[in-house]
Amino acid sequence: MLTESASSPLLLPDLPAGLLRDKGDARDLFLQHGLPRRGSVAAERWKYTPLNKMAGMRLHLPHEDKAWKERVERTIASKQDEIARFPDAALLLFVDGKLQAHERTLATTPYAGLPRVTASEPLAALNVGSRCEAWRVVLNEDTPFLHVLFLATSSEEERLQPPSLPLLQTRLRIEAQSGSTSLCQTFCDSSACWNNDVIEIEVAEEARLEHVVLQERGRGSCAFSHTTVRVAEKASYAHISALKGEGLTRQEVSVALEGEEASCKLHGAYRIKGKGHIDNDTEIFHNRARCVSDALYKGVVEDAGRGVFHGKIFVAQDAQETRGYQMSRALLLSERAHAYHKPELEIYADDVICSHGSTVGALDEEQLLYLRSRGVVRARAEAILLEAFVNEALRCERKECAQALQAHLAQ
Amino acid sequence: MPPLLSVESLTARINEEGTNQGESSHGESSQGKSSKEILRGVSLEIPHGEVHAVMGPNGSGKSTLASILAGREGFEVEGRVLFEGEDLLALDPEERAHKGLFLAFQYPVSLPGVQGMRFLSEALDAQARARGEKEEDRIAQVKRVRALSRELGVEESMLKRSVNDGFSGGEKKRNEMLQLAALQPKLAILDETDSGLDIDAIRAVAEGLERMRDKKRSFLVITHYQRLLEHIEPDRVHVLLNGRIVRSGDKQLCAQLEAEGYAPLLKEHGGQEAAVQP
Repeated sequence: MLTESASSPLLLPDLPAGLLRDKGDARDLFLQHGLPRRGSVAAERWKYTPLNKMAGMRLHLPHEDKAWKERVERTIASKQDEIARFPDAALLLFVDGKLQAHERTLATTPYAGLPRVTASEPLAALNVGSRCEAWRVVLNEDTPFLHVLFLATSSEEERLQPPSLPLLQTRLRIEAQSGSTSLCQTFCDSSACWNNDVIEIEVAEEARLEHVVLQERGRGSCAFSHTTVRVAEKASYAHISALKGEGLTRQEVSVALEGEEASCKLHGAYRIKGKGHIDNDTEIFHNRARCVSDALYKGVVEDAGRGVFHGKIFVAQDAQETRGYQMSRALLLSERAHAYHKPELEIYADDVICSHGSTVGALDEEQLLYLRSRGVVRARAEAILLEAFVNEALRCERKECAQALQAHLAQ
Repeated sequence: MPPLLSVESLTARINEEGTNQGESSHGESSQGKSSKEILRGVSLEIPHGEVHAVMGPNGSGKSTLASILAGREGFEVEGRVLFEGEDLLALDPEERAHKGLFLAFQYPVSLPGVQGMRFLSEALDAQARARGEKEEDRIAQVKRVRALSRELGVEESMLKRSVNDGFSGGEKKRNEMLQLAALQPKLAILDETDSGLDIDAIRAVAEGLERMRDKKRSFLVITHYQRLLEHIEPDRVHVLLNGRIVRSGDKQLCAQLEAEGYAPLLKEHGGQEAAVQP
């Protein structure tokens, strides 16, 4: 008689030689667990974003030869608009995961610290277990605004056989030390690649950090990011993302409110087309008393796209007078579109206000009729309603970032 | 010159999954399992520059008539409706607006995240484009709309808020009036604009309408009560009962209705099934 094994076989992509460190916990964790699979520790967190097809996928690192350097220069030359997007910001410009010098480049120092990762974070484990560039940046009143731009060179000219995706990894440590600070991360890929980034953030006592992410993924492209944040007493952290495209994106944001009266806001909106897949995986740990958290994710899914939201709120026993709010909403514009929402509340304190809600639906015909009855044609009426829908989750304090977020998801 | 609006033998059945709103869907008429006849041959002509009132009890089909004229889906419609001689029923709701038709909704929906002024600009620009006219300069447009809002007693802050979002009943109706004044339609249909308004608000609405009245613009005022019609004098009054216009007359008719109610007419037209069907 056949019996089903407790877990399916280990799934691993075909990694380039020399990528992984020779030793280390994260490396071991990745090699032990591989990509999420049925029965594995990570299975639950990855339930709606299966990576089975990634097993055996060939990944390579860009060859840093003369031709590559020329491609880097061409890429930089062709993305001047993107580079100049936030002229008031300091800039960290990465091309293919490598930091490039620029006149607005901020002082950075290589960072050797390794963030702790768990078995349910296999992609973060891959990053931390790999040799890749890692940089530390300090934000404060003197440097309140940083733009981190990720560019990728077009690898089409490499014409690799069998097909292979460039694996682009970076690690950043951002320390918001004082004052109101902003970090804006933008991604621009002109051809398919596999990004896998880890960001560690510390927000010091009474400091504020607004972290904005703009990303578009083309078909065949993958973007994994893992952001862990520690927020100190009376400090605040906001993460506001606008994601779109036909590729695969999984954005993990894990925030620990480590001081009393700390707060965080995780807002995001996304628009999926084609067979695109966007997964927002959030965790908020209320570890101290009187902290506030607010999560709001809004998505528009077209064609055969899939939107996923997982939102965990954890309230420790001592974290009295916690307030935690969570809402996820999706609009499905096609019969083949899907949205999966999974709230998860784990509460050990007894003086707590927590809420969660989730909706999935279509555009409201009454609202469309109202606009049309005033002369607005249907397509425009739909665009207006979709824009209003996503913009609720894209508000932010820095004006140029707010404009960039809204423009990113406008039709 | 053809009349502005000509409704000929209009019948309407609501589909099982109809999306009509208003009196008919709240009441008895749309509760049937199969399709239900709501309008049973309505004929009506509105010449240029006239104000016509349609009165009738709950469930008589008043809002359905307004909905069908504005282009709401979910009805099986027969008969003919001509707007300046053109087949209105063949047009999309936006095309009807481009031709100069406006419906002030009984229950205007809210549009969270769509700012009032932005909404009006979109509508004004869309109509100008559709008519091959030049779009109004944005600054001039905002000035004009602000001036109108002052005239109508609409708080200017309403233009900065999301359309109808968190508005009181009265604010919603005033907002409809502001849109009407800004869009300057040829025919404005007012679907129970007076319901839910206090006496002062009704007067403000009526004054706004009175100012817009001219030789070319026509109004179709749908109402339960005489009150609005005391302020804006109708040229013709039609009584809609059980999906049919059973009587038309001048403004004396509405005084008579106010005095006697609909009961004598219901009796006369065998209307027990009309309004009070269980």
